[in-house]
Amino acid sequence: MALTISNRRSGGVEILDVAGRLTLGDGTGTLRDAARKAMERGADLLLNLSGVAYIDSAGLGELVGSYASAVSRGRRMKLLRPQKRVDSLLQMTKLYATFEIFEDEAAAVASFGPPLPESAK
Amino acid sequence: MLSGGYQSEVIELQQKLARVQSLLEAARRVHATIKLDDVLFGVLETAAKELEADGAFFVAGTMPLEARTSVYGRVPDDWTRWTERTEIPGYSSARLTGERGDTLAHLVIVRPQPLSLEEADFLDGLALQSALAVGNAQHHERMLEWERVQLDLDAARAIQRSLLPQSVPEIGGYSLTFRSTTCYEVGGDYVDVAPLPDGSLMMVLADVAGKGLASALMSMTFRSSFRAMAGAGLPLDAMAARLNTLHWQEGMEARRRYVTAILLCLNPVTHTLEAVNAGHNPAFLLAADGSDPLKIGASGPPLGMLPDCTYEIERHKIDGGGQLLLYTDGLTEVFQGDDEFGEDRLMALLAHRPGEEFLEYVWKTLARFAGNARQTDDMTALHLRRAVAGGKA
Repeated sequence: MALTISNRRSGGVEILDVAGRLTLGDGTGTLRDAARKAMERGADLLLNLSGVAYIDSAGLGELVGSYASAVSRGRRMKLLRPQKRVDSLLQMTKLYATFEIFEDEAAAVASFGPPLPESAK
Repeated sequence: MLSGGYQSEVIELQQKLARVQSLLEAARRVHATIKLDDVLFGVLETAAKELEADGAFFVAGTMPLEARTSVYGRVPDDWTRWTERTEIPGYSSARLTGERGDTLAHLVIVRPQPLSLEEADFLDGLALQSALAVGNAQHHERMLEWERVQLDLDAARAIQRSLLPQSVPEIGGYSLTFRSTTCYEVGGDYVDVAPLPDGSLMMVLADVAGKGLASALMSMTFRSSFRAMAGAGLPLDAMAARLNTLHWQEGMEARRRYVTAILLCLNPVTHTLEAVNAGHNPAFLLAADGSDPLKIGASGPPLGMLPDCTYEIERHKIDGGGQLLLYTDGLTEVFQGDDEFGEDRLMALLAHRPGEEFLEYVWKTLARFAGNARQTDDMTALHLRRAVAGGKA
């Protein structure tokens, strides 16, 4: 199953609903493009990973790459509901502590704080 | 005596026959070679001669053209202005359609008189034959290019195999084996063993994210850094931190091809083992007494992914009959349908089937599990076993 990503906006946060296999090639490219575009729109990112059942090492690299890219642009990226496979890979690689991870969407969105006024962006 | 009408019909038929014959001849000529340049030149020459044109040229579509093969005979100075849409008098054209329905190029002839119906048919027929010949020539060129790439990959594979440890050092009281197979010509797994001057043995098993040539290049960079540092007397945690920084500094592409690794140092006299796991699958340490195996898990993230990472050294003792297994995820992520081989099964193999041929046995077991399907990831493992006191390893 190819990776699909749809966007929703909640305040200053763009929620990316990611579904499919986050693997080398199409999957990683799709995530990279979607994350870049959202950041160019000046948004903080919340990646909803509840639809990602499989991830490979390249997919993990892309998650961290998008995270690093967000930080370097002064934006934030957090994760929502990673499933078993993603969760255990984050645990095994000791990357769990790098990301802020949420189970509840409202709590995740609230954690970003109130949206910045346009002039502050 | 034949009537005038009948005579002109015969002449017309004779002309048609001549056109068909010349088209057959043209087809024979353009198909006589698989060299693209010769095909293109032959098409232009045939078109110009058969249609008594001043010259002929190609206008590129999806097929890239070189100047020397795209013009024949005399063409006006403004010939480059020709496009499909501009109907400039004195030019006639036909389209070369590729296998995917794309326009490879337009074949254009330069002739003041417009083409008759038969002549236009001839030009279309020639364009059709040309497109087939161009397709064949392009296939041939791609095949030659592929052969060159294949030779390159074969050479790269030979280099990569030659950079694996050629002999495993003899360590008194231990047996050490490793095995590494790639899923493509070259791979991103890396295993190395370096005896140190103080008699201890440094070992590393690493896995670059992804597979294939790009990962293989990164694994060779990693090898250079590891080898340069192995003899420098750095503690393993500092070595991991340094490897992390060096890789991270290589830039964005390298960061996507990060490295998970386990660094080990065995003192075969005191039987102590130091280990640092950087984001890699846990190593298994199994005692001979049947107690639960110990997993050496990651103390820090994979190397090269994030700046300024820290790692911790774990220290363990290897008792007589004790075993250590390091492996890349290509071993555990072997599938039978949706069923993944996984850590537990691998650990069970280690517990129940120790011995000299252990890794060979693991590979056979995994191949059987996957129904002998083609390997989908690089697979590498290192197995260390301490002899039972007074016995053979």
